[in-house]
Amino acid sequence: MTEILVQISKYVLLLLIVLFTMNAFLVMRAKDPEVRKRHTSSEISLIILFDIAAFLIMYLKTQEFRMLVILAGLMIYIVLIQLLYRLFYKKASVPLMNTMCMLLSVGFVIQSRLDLDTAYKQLIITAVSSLFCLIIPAFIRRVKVMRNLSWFYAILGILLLGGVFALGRVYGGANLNVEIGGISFQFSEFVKITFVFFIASMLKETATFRQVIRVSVLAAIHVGILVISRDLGAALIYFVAYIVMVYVATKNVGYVALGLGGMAAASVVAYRLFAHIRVRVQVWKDPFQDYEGTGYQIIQALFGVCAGGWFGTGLFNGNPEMIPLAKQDFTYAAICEEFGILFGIFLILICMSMYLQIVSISTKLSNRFYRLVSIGLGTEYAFQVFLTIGGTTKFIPMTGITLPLVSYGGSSIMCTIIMLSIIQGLYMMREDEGEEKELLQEIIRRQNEKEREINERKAYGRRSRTMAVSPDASGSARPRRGRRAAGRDKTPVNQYAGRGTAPVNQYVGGATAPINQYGGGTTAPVNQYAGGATAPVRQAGTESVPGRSVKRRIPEDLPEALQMTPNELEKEMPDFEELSRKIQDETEKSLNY
Amino acid sequence: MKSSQEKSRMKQKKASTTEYPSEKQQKKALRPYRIVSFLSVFLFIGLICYMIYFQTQMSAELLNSPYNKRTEALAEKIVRGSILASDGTTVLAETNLDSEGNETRSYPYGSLYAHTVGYLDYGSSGLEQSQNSRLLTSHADLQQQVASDLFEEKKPGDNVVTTLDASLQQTAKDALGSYHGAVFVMDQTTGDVLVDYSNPSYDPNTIVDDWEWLTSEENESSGVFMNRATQGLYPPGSTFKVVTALAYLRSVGSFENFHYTCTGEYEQKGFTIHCASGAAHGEEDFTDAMANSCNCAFAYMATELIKRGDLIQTANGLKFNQSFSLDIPSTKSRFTLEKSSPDQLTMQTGIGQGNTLATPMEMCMILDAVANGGKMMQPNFVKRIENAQGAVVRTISGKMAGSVMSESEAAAIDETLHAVVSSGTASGLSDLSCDPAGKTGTAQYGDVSQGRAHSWFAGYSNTGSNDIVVTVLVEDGGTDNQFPAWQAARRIFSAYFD
Repeated sequence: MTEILVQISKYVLLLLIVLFTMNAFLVMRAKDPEVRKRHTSSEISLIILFDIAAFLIMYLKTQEFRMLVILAGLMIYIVLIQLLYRLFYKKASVPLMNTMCMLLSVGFVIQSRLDLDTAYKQLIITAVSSLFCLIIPAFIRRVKVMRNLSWFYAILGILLLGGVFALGRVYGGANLNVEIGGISFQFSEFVKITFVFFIASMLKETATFRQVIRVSVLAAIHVGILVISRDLGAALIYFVAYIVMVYVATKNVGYVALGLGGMAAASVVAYRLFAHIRVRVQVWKDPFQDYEGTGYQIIQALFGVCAGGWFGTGLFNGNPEMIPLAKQDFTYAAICEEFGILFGIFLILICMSMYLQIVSISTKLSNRFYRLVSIGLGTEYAFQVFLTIGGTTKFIPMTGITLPLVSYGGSSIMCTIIMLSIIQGLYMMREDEGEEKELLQEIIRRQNEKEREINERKAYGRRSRTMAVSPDASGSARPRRGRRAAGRDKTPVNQYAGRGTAPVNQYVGGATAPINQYGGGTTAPVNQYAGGATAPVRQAGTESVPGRSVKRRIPEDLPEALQMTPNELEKEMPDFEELSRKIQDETEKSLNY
Repeated sequence: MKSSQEKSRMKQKKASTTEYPSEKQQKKALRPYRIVSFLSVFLFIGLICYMIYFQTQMSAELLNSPYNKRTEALAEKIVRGSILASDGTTVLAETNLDSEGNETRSYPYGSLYAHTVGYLDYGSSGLEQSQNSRLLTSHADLQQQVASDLFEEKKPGDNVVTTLDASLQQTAKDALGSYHGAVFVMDQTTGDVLVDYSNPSYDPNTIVDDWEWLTSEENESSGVFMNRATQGLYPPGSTFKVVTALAYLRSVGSFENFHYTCTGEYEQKGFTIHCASGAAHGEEDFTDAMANSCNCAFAYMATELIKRGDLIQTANGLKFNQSFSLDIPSTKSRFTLEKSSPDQLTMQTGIGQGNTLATPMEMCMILDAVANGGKMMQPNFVKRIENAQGAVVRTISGKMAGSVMSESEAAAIDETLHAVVSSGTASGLSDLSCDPAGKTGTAQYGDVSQGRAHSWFAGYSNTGSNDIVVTVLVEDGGTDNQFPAWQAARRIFSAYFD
């Protein structure tokens, strides 16, 4: 009887993850908050259903009461973390949190399947680190000084990696470990975060050649320590994060080419120098050559991946315990065995959606430091997923790292949670910014609307004018061109002012009055405006424009609105003082590009 | 004036729809982010494509790997399926359960199918190995599956229906008698293997008991475990003249203008080749040379008329030096000749001696291409997979190994091979109703002075439907012409068609 339920459950679990994946992608596309909410709440229900279904099946199969304990713990964790975030951080990204919960759920199911003791340990680590990490988003939002600590990050990172290499013991052939209170810490996981902060703060303002060289030297020290301590996976992740961050900061493909070239050369040297690298490549090319020895792990993983076919064997029907390190490095093989290749593919898609969410946050931030942090962390995540899944399935040589949030590993899970909390903090900053931006856009929209209205009236008035006005109409276009040129004049202020107000200047009449005021708020463009055709309004009569001396007369028979005095008009316009203040803020921010 | 007004209005429109001011700048600043995210998405997509590739292309081989201990775990849940002959009823291997539920694997025909079906103990071999995961997968009716799950019983595994023709295999065995050798019979158009017989053989039923003796040193030389049809490498002898003929066609264009006067020996640079049993064939055209299997004519062709590159290319094109991925182990046939090779070697190569070594399967495939209008089929051993109730789970059809010669080339060679039967060395087959064509061969081996030779026949029927290709190799059959292979082929043809 149980067997039938297990067989049904594997299709149910697949269906749930497919639905979750669909929601995860739909919510990224949705703009309407209502729709987003609908998707996120179905995501949460899918996660809960998934956990309940999987753990109940496992309970039936094993009659092990601890399965239900872990299920309860997991449920409490998910509900609590969702509630706490909603309580403290209204602006947090719910989809990001859901994706995290889904990956954690898959992780806990497979961990409990493999070993209840370690699953239990993992649950505690996850819960405790999530609680502590609750403070991180607030920290990120408030503490601005962290943008400037580049040398601190670099020295901290190098000291940690170097210190552990000097003192620590080599465990599992590759990893840097220090045991603290029964949990072994892999400092390369922690330093992954400081490494990104270090590069971001170095490159946040100017990415001059000198600066890039500095970054490169320090990054090379990080990577170098990792290579000699045999942590090739981490070394690769650091390196890719470095390349990506330098590239987005400088927009210079040359650096990428240089970096990749350097890496190719370094790889050749490392391949010659280190036997363990040669072994990895050899194992990747033909694992069967040394079946009993170096090839054993990967071959067992491959047997695991193919054992279940598309739909898997069903929980407790496979033999994932035959895979060495199934809890850590080869979790993906264990998942494919019992849940099936299709499930594995959708798991990749969920990881991809996690990455895309992080990138979309980074593109919407306006401060360069945070932006670089976000893309850096995102890249590390994506590349780690690629390395571990690709390694497990022999797509690429195995590097021996964990699948974030899914594999067992105290420091891995802790650091991923820290990383995601940082991302949440960045997301909230973006939301803060977004609100300001929206306000600003609203103001501009209203202003434009007003102007359009006035312009229409103006056009009406123009029709009643004589031919003598016509040179004006064409003349008004010319200064605009001039202003555009001014707009390119490096400082974004000009550009902003130039573009934002462009329409205004085309109707030379009464409507332009507020612009002067607006122009007064900013600085540079004012003269340009003065050069344009604004002043006449003040005089409400004729005016000689400097350098142009076009005489203009406002006809008496204009509609009422156009005969309003500037002060009266001003009242109908939005608060421009406020607007200009915002614009100044905005330009300050955009200066950081 | 009106137009300029409109223009300016349009400009206004454009300008007034300008959105958030720094958008364009922002877009530019974001381009590298976009590129990076595209590249990363590309990595993810790559992983997904690889997973699909893994499941569709790589997983079968891994599942059947002899290292894979998971199948042992599978065997605890599933009763291994049977291996059947092409009629779907003749059992070649099955698992029997005794009253206590103990399983024994039995092979009702003993040694007859041993090389194809294989065995399970001491590692595994043959179809037992390559079809392992199919035999241990159950596609039984849902009803039965549910019932098995309910009563916690083992499920019946799927059956593998082979392409082997049970009665023809027996005929092959009888025809070969006590001679060591191999018989390989393929369907011309599908590549389905009807007979894969190799002698000497072993009995897989008693392999555990016999193992020590079978693997003992004194027995090793007999090579009982070797499937002579797919793994045995023999000098092809005169059957190779089919290859030489094709190379001649490619070098010269047609057989029409070939003339040669055979005096019984051909000398080139101090090295002499003789025709079989010292015969002198006299005035010959190409068809005569083939029918008479005239060594002198072919040695002359190989050294004087055929471009050496053509001979090399033709042999490689006909799948010499190429391994096949089949359901049972096979060895690649060898052909080595270089443009700088001495004439002596070229002469020998042209008549199928020299360094050339071919498996009976390889010669069968070449003759198949001739019979099949140039299309060479790859030998196929498994016809379909059925569930325990006999419902088809999967049908497997043969694959083409390649289009190795043009239709006109095939037709030209076909004509000369018909002459071999009607008036040449295989005239003993001329009275058969299936209108066979083919080539005989006597391949010397070992020390030439001892005159020891294997006997070959490779040929095919021409009835228009269900035609077959037959290859027979009789070890030492050519020594003193004691047992020509065509005699065994004759029994196969007549058993199949009459």
